Amino acid sequence: MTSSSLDAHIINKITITPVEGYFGSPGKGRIVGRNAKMENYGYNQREWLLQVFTDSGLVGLSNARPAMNRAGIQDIYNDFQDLIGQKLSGFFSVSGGRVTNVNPRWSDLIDRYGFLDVALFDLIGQALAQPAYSLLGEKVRDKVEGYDSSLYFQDLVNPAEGANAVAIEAAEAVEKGWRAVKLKLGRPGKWFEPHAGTRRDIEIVESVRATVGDDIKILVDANNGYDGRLDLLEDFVRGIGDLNVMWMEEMITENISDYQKLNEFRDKYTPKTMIVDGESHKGRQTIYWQLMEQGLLDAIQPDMLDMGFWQFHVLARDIEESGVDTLIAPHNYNAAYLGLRADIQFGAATKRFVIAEDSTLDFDLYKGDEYVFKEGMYTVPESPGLAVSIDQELYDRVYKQHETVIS
Amino acid sequence: MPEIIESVTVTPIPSSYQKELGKNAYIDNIGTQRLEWVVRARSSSGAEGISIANRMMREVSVESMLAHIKGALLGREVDQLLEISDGVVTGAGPGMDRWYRRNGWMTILAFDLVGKSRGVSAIDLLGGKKHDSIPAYDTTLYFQDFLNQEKGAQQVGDEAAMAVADGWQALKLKMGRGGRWMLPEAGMRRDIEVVQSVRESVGPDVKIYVDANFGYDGHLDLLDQYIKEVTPLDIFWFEEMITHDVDGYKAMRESLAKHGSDALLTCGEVDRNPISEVFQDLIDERLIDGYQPDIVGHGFLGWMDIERQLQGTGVRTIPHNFGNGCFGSYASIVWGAASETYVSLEDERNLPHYLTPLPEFTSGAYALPTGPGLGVDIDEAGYAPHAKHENRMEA
Repeated sequence: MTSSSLDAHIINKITITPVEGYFGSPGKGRIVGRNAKMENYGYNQREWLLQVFTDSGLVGLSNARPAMNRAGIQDIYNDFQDLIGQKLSGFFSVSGGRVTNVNPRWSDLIDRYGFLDVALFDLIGQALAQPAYSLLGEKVRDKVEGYDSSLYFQDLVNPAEGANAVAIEAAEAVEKGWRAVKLKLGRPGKWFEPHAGTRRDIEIVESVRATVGDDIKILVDANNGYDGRLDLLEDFVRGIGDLNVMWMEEMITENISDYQKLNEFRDKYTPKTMIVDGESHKGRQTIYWQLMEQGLLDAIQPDMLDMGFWQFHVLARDIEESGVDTLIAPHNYNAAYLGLRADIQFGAATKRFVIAEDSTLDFDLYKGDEYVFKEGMYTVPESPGLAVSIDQELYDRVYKQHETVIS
Repeated sequence: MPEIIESVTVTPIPSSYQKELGKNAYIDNIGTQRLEWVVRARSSSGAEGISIANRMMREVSVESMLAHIKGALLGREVDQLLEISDGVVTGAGPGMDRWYRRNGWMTILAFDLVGKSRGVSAIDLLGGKKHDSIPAYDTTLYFQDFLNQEKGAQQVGDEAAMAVADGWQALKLKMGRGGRWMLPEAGMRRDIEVVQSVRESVGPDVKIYVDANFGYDGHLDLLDQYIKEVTPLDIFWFEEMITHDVDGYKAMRESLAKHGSDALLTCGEVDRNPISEVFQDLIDERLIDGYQPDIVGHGFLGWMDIERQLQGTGVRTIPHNFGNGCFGSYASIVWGAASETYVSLEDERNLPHYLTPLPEFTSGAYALPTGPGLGVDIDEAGYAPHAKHENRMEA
């Protein structure tokens, strides 16, 4: 297959539509609390459903949330006008069923709107009758593991339960099928007196481990909540030394000397635990390459929708070629239904991929039955593109009145 | 033996809304719950002053906050908190200005503690009551059309009707959908549709305020069209339709006049150093009718100063209160009772939990509290579940 096969598909309409999803069904959901720096996450999370239509009847899907987080609908409306009338062959070089490069004309737009290329890969995959992952490379795994990423400072949401509030919700996640859970830590950063916050962080990991048992992966993420307190960070790492923590994420803001100390603590107290970071950057910034080259970073985490398939693929290739050992674990909070599916597709074709971040949201709009979730793993679909469609009757009845149309 | 502050505690306590609150023009969903950082200062006589440090916690960590509070209050003589003449507060106590600066919430605690210590109402310390009750408006009508997407604008109308059924006689509707979440014209259309839906749902006797959080910035043409179409629906005030700017507000005044509206123009909640220059210009040129710095953010001393500056301008006091939770309503009622030109309490309608009950609410207005200080105390049974997160400091 070549790009010429894609000439027959011309983009003729784009819509962007807010779709609410809930941490549990509406009215029965739960509040996701604060992290080390930010107020309560809240009761729900919304997808800004991006639909890219072609005159041949294809629809590519993605989530425009990163752009809506940065600015507003007007910017997307203006910037996506140029897409109307474009052939599907114009965005990427495609050879032998693989995307091999991005067209320089579109590289800036795709760089700014990484999520756009998720919809384009969806379209290209459908046009070529290939799964989205196969546009990147061979399938390297049939299933992709997901971790529940919604265990925030639940102890401040349900104060009467204290640390146990997190353990209760971790147990619920395991009951629903997840085999890996990430705990938000970093209480010394803002909301607690620093020593009390460190004690609570340790107490929470202990409580969750005691509740979910030995077979569940526990990941922790401090959102840099130990910045300026390497003494407390050492206390924390020592405190969780025998609790089998899979990774420590953003314990401190990344810099070489502090990361050297963090690595020392890890090596001393919990040597199997990975050190991961990098969600807020595109991944090629100097500090990350320095950390990777010095062996201080076990996995890097740029955002899936901010990067999109192509930029992430290039990052993975660059890491591979550089010879460093760093793995890839895309940040994917805020990504909702479609971002998670993109993450799974990326993971299916990326050897260095570790695990998918799952916000565990309930949506009623999407149909993606091939992504079977069982024992913490999502099956990788073999249908073309992202293998997701929407319930059109539901969309027309509920969501269409809220859509913005570019045509 | 002087009465001193012997202990101070700071405790995060969640406060919940009666429902989920959606977006405003720029901020994503508010949600169902916020946190109140409850500060309790107990004196050697057993009197206790209460306030919340929510705004301080937006900017600093608990560690920094505790250090500030310790310096300001712990071991301090209660009589040194405020300067009082003939039973009325005239200013900060000696050396207290530096602690109260940017922390107006602390002055409310001072009024509460001094009032309770002396057995007098904070209303009297503010100069005595000017009203017998305080009207309140429901401020929870956000972009609810984005939450119940099938109902759309009618969702706001339905929630407004429920608020009226619960006793509120004034409602504020969040506007400005075209500022971020919708294209400008589509947003204006939905804004109008929401006002129409609410007016139809609540009937002609309920006051409707609208607040766009600057959502019409750069679109004075659409704002003019909006004013034209909602004026027949009887709007009581237009709040923050655009960012504070003399030319913009002149254009708004002209729109109101052109379309026959006698609604108030209000703004000022974002003024962190009231009354700052642009707001003073708006006041001097009679371009606004109500001024809205936050009640807890600026505190009672801050608002006393603001009210002095507003005297003779015709501009009324309408303190912002959103985000101040359960405590903010008490502070607003007390301030409003003593403020000649006070209009209406911004009421978040939080579910009660850690404070003793609000004064009686009838016909859309709260009665005045009768006890000393703010007339409110901690409900220890409601507080107990949160005590494990208490940060305690003792002299």
